[in-house]
This record gives sequence, C-alpha cells and structure tokens, in this order.
Amino acid sequence: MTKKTTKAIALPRSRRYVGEAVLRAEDQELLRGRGGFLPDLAAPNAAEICIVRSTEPHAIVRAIRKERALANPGVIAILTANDLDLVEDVLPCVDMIPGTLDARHRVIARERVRYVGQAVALVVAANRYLAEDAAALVEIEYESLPPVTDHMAAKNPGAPLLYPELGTNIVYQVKQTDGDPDFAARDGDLVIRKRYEFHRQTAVPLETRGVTAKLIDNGERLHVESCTQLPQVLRAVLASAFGISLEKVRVTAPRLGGGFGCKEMVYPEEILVPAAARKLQRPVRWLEDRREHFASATHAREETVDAEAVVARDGAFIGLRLTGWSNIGAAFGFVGNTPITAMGAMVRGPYRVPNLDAVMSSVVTNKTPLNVLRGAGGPQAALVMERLLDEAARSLGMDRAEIRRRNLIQPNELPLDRGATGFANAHHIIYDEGDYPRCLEAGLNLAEYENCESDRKAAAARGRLRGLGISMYVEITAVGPYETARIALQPDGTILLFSSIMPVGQGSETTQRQLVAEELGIAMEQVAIRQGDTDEVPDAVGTFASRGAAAGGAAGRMVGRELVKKILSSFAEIPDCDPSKLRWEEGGVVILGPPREFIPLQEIPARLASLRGDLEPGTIEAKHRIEIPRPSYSYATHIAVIEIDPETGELKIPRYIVAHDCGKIVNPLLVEGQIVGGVVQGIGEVLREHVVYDTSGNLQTRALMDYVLPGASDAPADFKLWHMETPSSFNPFGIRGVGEGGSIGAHAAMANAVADALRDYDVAVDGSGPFTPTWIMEALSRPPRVSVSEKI
Amino acid sequence: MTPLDSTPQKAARDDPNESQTSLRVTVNGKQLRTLVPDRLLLSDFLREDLGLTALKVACGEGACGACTIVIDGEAARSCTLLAVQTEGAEILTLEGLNAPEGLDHVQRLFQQHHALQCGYCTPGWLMTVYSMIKRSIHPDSAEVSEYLSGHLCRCTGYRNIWAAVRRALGAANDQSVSGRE
Amino acid sequence: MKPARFRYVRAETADHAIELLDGADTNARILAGGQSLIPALSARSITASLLLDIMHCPGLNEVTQTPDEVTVGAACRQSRIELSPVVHQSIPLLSEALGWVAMPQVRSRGTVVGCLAQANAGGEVPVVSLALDAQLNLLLSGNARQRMPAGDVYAVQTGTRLPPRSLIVSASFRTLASGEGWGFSEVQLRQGHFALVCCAATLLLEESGRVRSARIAIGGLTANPYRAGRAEMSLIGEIADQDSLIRDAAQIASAERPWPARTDLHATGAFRAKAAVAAVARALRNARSRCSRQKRSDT
Repeated sequence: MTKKTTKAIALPRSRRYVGEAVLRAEDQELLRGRGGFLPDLAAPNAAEICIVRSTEPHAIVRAIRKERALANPGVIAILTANDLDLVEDVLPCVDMIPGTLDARHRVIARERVRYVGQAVALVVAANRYLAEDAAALVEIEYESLPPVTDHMAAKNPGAPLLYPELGTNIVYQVKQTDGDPDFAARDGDLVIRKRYEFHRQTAVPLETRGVTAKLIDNGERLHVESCTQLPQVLRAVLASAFGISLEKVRVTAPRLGGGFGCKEMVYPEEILVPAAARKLQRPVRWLEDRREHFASATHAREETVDAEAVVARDGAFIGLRLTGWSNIGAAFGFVGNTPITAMGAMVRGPYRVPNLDAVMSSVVTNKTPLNVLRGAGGPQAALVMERLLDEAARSLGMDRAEIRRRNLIQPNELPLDRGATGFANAHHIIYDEGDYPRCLEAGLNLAEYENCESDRKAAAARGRLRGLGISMYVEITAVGPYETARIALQPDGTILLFSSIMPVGQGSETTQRQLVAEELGIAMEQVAIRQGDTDEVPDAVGTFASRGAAAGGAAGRMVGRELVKKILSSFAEIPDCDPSKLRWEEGGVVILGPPREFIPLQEIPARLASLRGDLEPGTIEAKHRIEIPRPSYSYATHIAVIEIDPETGELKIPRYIVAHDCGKIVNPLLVEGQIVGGVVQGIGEVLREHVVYDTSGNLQTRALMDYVLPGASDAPADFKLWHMETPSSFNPFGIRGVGEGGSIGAHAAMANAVADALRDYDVAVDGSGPFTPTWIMEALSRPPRVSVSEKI
Repeated sequence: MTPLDSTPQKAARDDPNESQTSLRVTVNGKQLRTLVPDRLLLSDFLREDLGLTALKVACGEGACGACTIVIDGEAARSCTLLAVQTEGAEILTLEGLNAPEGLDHVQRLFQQHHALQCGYCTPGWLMTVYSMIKRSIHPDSAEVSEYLSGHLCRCTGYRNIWAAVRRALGAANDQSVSGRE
Repeated sequence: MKPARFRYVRAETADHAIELLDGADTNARILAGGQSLIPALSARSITASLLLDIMHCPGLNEVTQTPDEVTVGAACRQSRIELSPVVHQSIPLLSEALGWVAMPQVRSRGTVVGCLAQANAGGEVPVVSLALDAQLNLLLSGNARQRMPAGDVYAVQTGTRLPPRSLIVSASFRTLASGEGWGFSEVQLRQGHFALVCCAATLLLEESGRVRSARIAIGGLTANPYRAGRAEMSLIGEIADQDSLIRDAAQIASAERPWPARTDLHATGAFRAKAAVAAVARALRNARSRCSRQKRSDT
C-alpha cells in the first residue's frame, strides 16, 4: 500500500497555527483525484466477492444449495457459515451495561435470518459481474417467521421474538436520574405530555464500504484493509474471530469517503472477507454497492419518546419524565444503545431542569441494525426539549426567547453535574464551562429575532407561511477513555506523526499537523502524518464522537512534548554538555553557553550524530497516552427561518444562524465546514430522508432516488455563523469537539420553525417528520387552531 | 494499478458466453482500439481497465454525480453508460484535465474555499465545472443551480462549493471565511 | 450492481434495427441514450437478451421543420434539443420542459425520443408531447411506417401502446401558432429529482382576449400523462384575464384525471392531486402572460 504522507519541507521560522485558517495540504492529492480510497487501491490477483443477502426479514434457513451457482463461469468458491473457521462469531457492542441481554450481531446467519440484507453466503469469483451472476443462482430455502418491525409492538408480550432464548425483544434498559426523580405534576402549574416520534434515517456517506484481505509474510500474517473509523478495534476482533494472536493481524484503513457514524462499527463483512482469504489462501476483495449499502450499512435515529414536562407558571421547567424506546433493528451496533442513552442523558441541554426521571430502552426488530449517526441521539434529545419549550411558551403566553432565558444554566453554575447518565464510559455528565445566555443572545441578534413577526406578515403578503425556530443544545464530545500518539524525528530532520485519528473528511491531517507544529514551534511543512495502520499505531480509541481535535490533538501535542524531552535528554547525555544550559525554543535546541547556540529541528539528527561520533543520523521517537477522564461539551444556538409555499408544500430556508462554542478553535475554516455540513445534513434528515420498510419487513428505500439527500439547491440562502471560544478546563488545550453539532441543532430548529410557520393550524409537530410536501399539505388541510390557554 | 487477473476484459477473453464488441474511443487524448464485454459499464472500463480511478462509483444509478466525466465536451455520467456506447467519442477524465503538477486554477479555488472535505465526490464536481466553463455559463445564471443539482455532497453542505464554483465562473469573492496558507 | 449478460449490436440503419428486432426474442430492446435502461439493467430489475444501439443510424440525428411541425430524430440528445434555435423558435415549450428533465449531466446523453418511449411516471417530454399534439413516427417490420399520436400512445394507465417490435424514428411536435402562449410548471422534492407533478399548457387568444384554444397536459399525477380536455373546454370562449377562470380550470384539470392519483415513496396521491392544481394554474398563467392577441386575419 502506498503511504499517503504529506511532503515536509524545512522553513526557518516557527509559527503559531492554532486559530489559523490553514489550507489543507491533503487537498492536493484529493483534487487531483488521487485520494487513495479503498476502491482505488490496487488489489493484485484479488478475487471479487459478492455477498448473498437475506431477502426475508425473519426466517429459519432450511437449506442453501450452491450447485447451480458453482457451475457458473469464473466462480472460485461459495462459502456459508459452515465453511468458515470462526472461533468467535459475534461482533462487539461497547455499550452493553450490566443487565443488557445478548443481542450481539452474528458474523453470518446460521439457522436464522433477522433482517433483509443480512449476509447468508459469500460468492467468490473472478470479477464482480461474474460473482453477481452466480449469486443470483444460489438457492436458499427459507421458512418464514412472522416479522415485527414496529418497536412499539415488538416491546409488548406476545410479539414475535427475534431471540426466543431471551424471552423478550427489550434487550437494553437504562435509568437516568437527577435531582428528585419522584417529582410530581402538582409541583408545577402546567403539565405537558407528548409522544415524540423519530423516523429512521441512514448516514449515506458517498463512499460505500469495502474490505480487502490477503495473507502476507509467507502466509504468517493476515492483512486486512477496510473502510473503518476503528482499525485498532477491528484488529482485536479479527484476532478473536480466528483465535490467533494480535501480532498476526494487520489492519490498515485508508482515507474514508465520509463516515458519519456508519463506519464506527465492526461489520460482518469485515470478518467474512478475511475468513474467505484464509480459507481460500488467496487475496480477496469486496466492494459494497449502493443497493446493498442501504440494506446492510447501519441505520439510525428511529425511536419513540413519551415525555412529561412539569413547568412553573413563570416558565421554569421543574422536571422532565421520559420513557423512550429505540428501534435498534435486528442486533446491536457497535454503539447501538448510545443514541437512546443520549436521549435521557442530554435531553435537558443547556437548561437547568433540576429533576429528571428517564427510562430508556432498546428494542430489537426485523430491520437492519442501528448505530450512531452524526449527533448520536443528540438531535432527538434536543428536539424533545426544544419542542417542549415552545409548547410551554405557547400555553403560558410567553415569548419563546424569554422562556429559554428563564431556564438557561448561568455561567457561574458551571461546571455542573447533571446526574447519572448510563453511558458505558461516562457515568456522570458534568458540564464544563460556558456562557449559554450569551450564546442565545448572539443567535437571536444575528437572526434579527425582533423582526420575526413583521417578517412573517410580509411573507404572508407574498403568499408564504414564514416560521422561525430556535434551538440550543449541549453536545458531549471528546470522549475518552484515552488516546495515543507516536512521533518520530527522522534522520533527515523532518517530523513524522503517527495519529490515531482517521481522516473521514474533517481535515484531521491538517488539524493534527497544526497542533504538533505549534507545540514544537516549527513550520507545518516540516510535519508529515500517517494514520490507520495498526502496525504503526497499535493502540488507539478511534475517530468518532467529535474527538479528533480535542482527544487526538491533545495526544498529538503531548507527544510533541515527550519528543522535546527526549531530544533534550539526548543532548544532555553528551559528555561536556551541561544539561542546565539546554532549552527548547523557537523550534530548536538552544544551548545557553555563552556563546548561545541554536540548532533548529531539522539539523538536530545530524548534529547529534556528529557529537556522538555516529556514522549516520538516527531517529528519535516518542509516544504518549493521554488519559481523558471526562468528555468536554460544545454548545450552540441554532435559528432556522423557513418559508412554506402553501400551494405545493415546498419549503425553503431563507436564513440559518448558528452561534457556536467549541472552545479553542484550531482551524476556523475546518470548523465552519463541519458546522455547515452538519446543519445541511440535519436539514435533509428532517425534510425528506426516510428509510422506509413495508409492514412485511421489506426495505423500500434502496437507491439514492428513493432516499433523497439534500442537494445544492437546499443550502440556506443566508447562512451566518458566529463563534465563541470558551476554553474547557476538561481538555488540556481547551478544545471541544465540533463535528456533529450542526446536525444536533438543526433537527430541533427546523421542527420549531415548521411548528411556528403552521401555528395557525391545529397541527402537532411532535417529532422529526420528515416534513415532506405531503406532510405539510396534510398539516395545512387541518382545521385552524383554537387559541386556548392551558394553565391549570 | 489494474487488478491483473480480475478485469472483466480478461475474464471475457476466456469465457465464450461473454459477448464482446469492438470499441474505438479516445480517452484523455489517447486513441484506443480494443474489444470489451458488451455489459461492461463505462465507469468500470475507465477505473479498472484503464486505471483512471479519479471518478468514483458511489451509487450506480446516475443520481449522485461522483462518476461524472466529460464526453464530447459535455459532462456525463459514466455509471449509466456501457463502454461500448462510447464508440467514436472523446472522453476526458480528471486525469486528463490535471496540470502536470500541483493544482490548476479551479482546483486552487476549491482548496481555498474549503469546497471539499472527504474528497470522494470532488472529481465529479470538477468535471462539471470544466464543462460549465467551456459553455461560458455566467455565475448568476439559473443554469448554475441546474448543473450543481447533478452532484450530491454529504460533507460540505454545499455553501463552499457554491462559492468556489461561482468564483470559477468569474464572480467576485463573496465568501466570508477564506483560508490562507 | 452489474448488469446480467446481454448481446449488444450497433444497428447500421433504422431498417437494420427493425430487422434485428424482428429476428430477436421478446426481451430485445432498443438502446438510445440508455439513461433509464442502463441503471435498470445494473440493478437487475430488468434484463435484456439483446440491446440494439440506434445512435449510429444515419438519418436519426436530425431536427427538421415544416410550417406546421418540428420533427426531432430518435438519436437527438436532450441537451442539443434544449439549446436548438429551431426548437426555441417554434416549440419553446419543449426547450423549457427539457430544463426540468433530470440534470444536465444526464441530458447530455439521454434522448428526447427515449423519454417518449420509456414513459417514466412524471416524465416531462411525454407531457409536452400531449400539449403539442405530437405524432410519433414509427418504423415497423417489412418497412412499414406508422404515425401514432402521443394521445394514443399514452391512452393507458401505465406503459405505452406502442406496437411491439417497433422503432420510433422521430417525433413531430406541433409548431406554436403566432401569438400562442405556452407555460410549463413542475413541483419537485428537490432540484434534480423527479417531477412529483408537472404541467405543460398552451393558450391561444382572440383579439377580444377570449380563449380560442387551450391545451393542458398533466404529468406525474397519474402514472401516464393525460390531457385535461374538460378543463380546456372550460376555458374556451372565456376572458383569459380572470384569475378565477384559471383557478377553476386548474381544479377541473386535476379532478378529471382518468386514473387514480399516484402514491409512492415521495408523495401521496392526495398531495399530487392538490399540487397538480397549483402546477396547472402556474402553467396557465405563464401561458397567458406569453400570449399576444391574435388578429382575425392571421388565422
């Protein structure tokens, strides 16, 4: 595999990089079309795999007949569960808290299939055309079982069981509390009870998945390439799956063409394809196509939440009681229980709401397994809180901004312990520093909130229904438990950083290089970076939860300090060198003397070699593991302004505002890109995107013309961003994560905007829609709303 | 770059059931005469047989634009065409547009405006921008939105792409944040 | 998503294509631009035994014109017709509608006649063919020729009534009369996506401002497009400059659909029925704004 390293050239002066809009050096190769994505990599002599997938949502597999398929030209083998020597055939789930039942995903279907798209057999052939020809001829005899696709039905006794041995379809449950969980309705003046429905979505990275596998080192080791955000995790799972030691497995992950959470997963194919390589003793490749991606890459967001909010007459929220059920599909995703956990853990956002009583559950159904998607449950949580705030404001006759001001946590209350969360690796949510009220005011000012009613009237004169929606959220980012980095000062005087963060589009290569260059006081051009190879970075937590800059970057800066220590001690070891006269300054070693001597970084290896009498300059390496005991939290205000054409249900977004705090910004260009990208993705999800199953469990959305993504014409016409930088004391460099927040705020802001636009109609906006033209026209056909105060 | 044993062409040569047709086509200025399987998609011919991997196959149905190339001067999908359909045509891929080294003017604008994140969809956009420039499309024309609607990007949210494309078509800089090196 | 096997032949002439079609089984297909056919073959939702590529047949690549009609050959690509000066001059309704077909990157390869043959639900070109009284010029076996009105082609809920083993060599569209206004309107989920509903309309006014003739064709509401004959009749003889007239005609046009309104992943039939009213009204208003008063002596 060709290493993708950025070229390093020496420059004399050190520079400050944190906060600079540095252009991405990796764009050079990407813009020339040489991104080195997995489908572009050479796979010499590799046979091509096509996976035979279940067409039944729920069935016993009675027989698999391969004869007709095997007779087809170019077929090398057809493999089923019995042909693969798997020692361990379940895939990991890291949020199985005590009490969780075992609904882990099997690598391949044996006696039972549980969702349309589940892998049943592998066809190995000379090329994909021939493999698909043969796959069509594999005969599978299914004995259908009754499917259940609705989680609200699946959770009830008497529903068809996906795992009869478990006795139930409710496989995970967490209780989350804060303050007095037994608070009562009579403690307040207004009670709001709502059921919120969140529809099923999916990540749709432009790059679908892929895996190659081959034996290397004379057949002693297995080399797997995969489109994964978790190469180190995959390596461990492969070793367990085949009962071999870790050293016998090498995983390399190339640059990813987007992930958004669906590549934060260990997939069956990532075990099956290597199993085929081992069985057949030859290289193999599997490249996923879009049709199979819709059925077999993880889905997201589908849940139902019953909420009860108790509110005082002055608008203060006293308590929130939630019961939630997540439709996690047929088996656990790697972090499949995280979204529903996030509902209870993060629902209150920046609002005080002192009392919380939440019970969140995961329910298995005959759908594709569910995992995280940008925001990881945050969008749903923010939507519940923000809709409740608007409902309360309406009932109490309060202004929507005012009720938010009434409830926001004040800066002097932070840090603040928010109670028990249930997250597997963050048992308590403790908010770090921030200024939520200032963030709200900034958003309202940018949106010209004071004009929203007159704008609405003006739009009505043009025949448009205009609405404005406000949302605020707090996002858990930069989760631990730790992160690692390795660094080398090479013989030619350049720096090579081995990062644990994968580039998925977020520009991690540039961000990491900025941080290391600033730490060392050198030019960025002197820093090269590599990642994704478990031989080079054997131990890392990985790329997810908006932790690249904050966690990965922190590890990078700390390893820079370790390198400096090692360089100084290398000089200190030289006889005649006085350690007390050594400093690191301006990107090099300073020997105080007199005379003062400065040795810039790029000359250090040669200088050391000369001082030590070595023939050749050597390499100085350092590594570091930074413990991350607690996550840090970003927050923002989003304000969406929409206009609906009541004749066609079409919805446009003339204005969108984000006022955002992600702590110390490393690269504002990249930060803005993440926010805008997240917002548009969130907008698309609530306007049109919908993974649709029929009642028999057949997946209806199989193509990009079925599942309609946002396009260039959907970008908000007037999009304003504003940043606050409150450093977080929870991160050594004050950095908070930023990758996901755009989506978290967008769902709630859009839902509130739709509700506002339709305020004169008796319409319930109790969930994520999607707010398609059909949805909007149906809403417009409802009777006018009768204005009734709901005070008790 | 080409997988040696598994090109559809090679398999086709060995398989009497795989019908083939002669193809005469110019790719990036180079004239080719070859025999290709009838069912070979143009996207696979370019990527796997000719090693031109800048274009990406991201949907296979013509919806996303990642496979966009230029045929006879117009932007076109390569995943919704058979190789054999391009008889007599002139095909241009990003590899044929690239300067010998570094970035050209349009690519530079994309970098400066941060108009790419993961980069997977980017080669397709560049081919469309090239064809728009060839047609001298005005940056304020309604056609700009039509051309851009031919591409999906999941990462950028399109704001920066709009800015880069409008600049490439001759608009003044209306972007609030632009980078520096 | 790779197609199953088929044979491919480049037809040398239109007659050659018909000969091959005649000699083949029922799963032989004509291949023009392929922008609908190839993705369907890739998804293996259809198969083919034989694909007959007509794009190299001489004589199929022309745009010809008489005083009464413009004829577009089967191999003419959508992008070329969209920009054609002859089409702009004489049948501008087609130029405008083509701007709504898919995206430019698909129109560079797809053909106008291909749209007519495919009859995809919501297809813009079939809708225009009804509004412009198009005739499809067919070649059949034994060198037989037939001219089939678009209205006959689409007189069925879904698919076409084209004779099997026929080749559409061209389509002839009625030239707009002097002073005749035209309009096109479409409702989409997102630019570049399918038409949820669309409408092509023409209006010809008397000097008095009363409607002499009207055409209203609606696509997407039902699987196949239809002409809203009753709505057209409701306009004849009426003063065009009344918004209530247009609104009422639009309501009638939607309600008179001959088949059930279409429900799919993207919209319900009920939605389409309402959106069609808006599309028809907008197309008629556009047509009216483009009318110029017809002098009696010009008829």
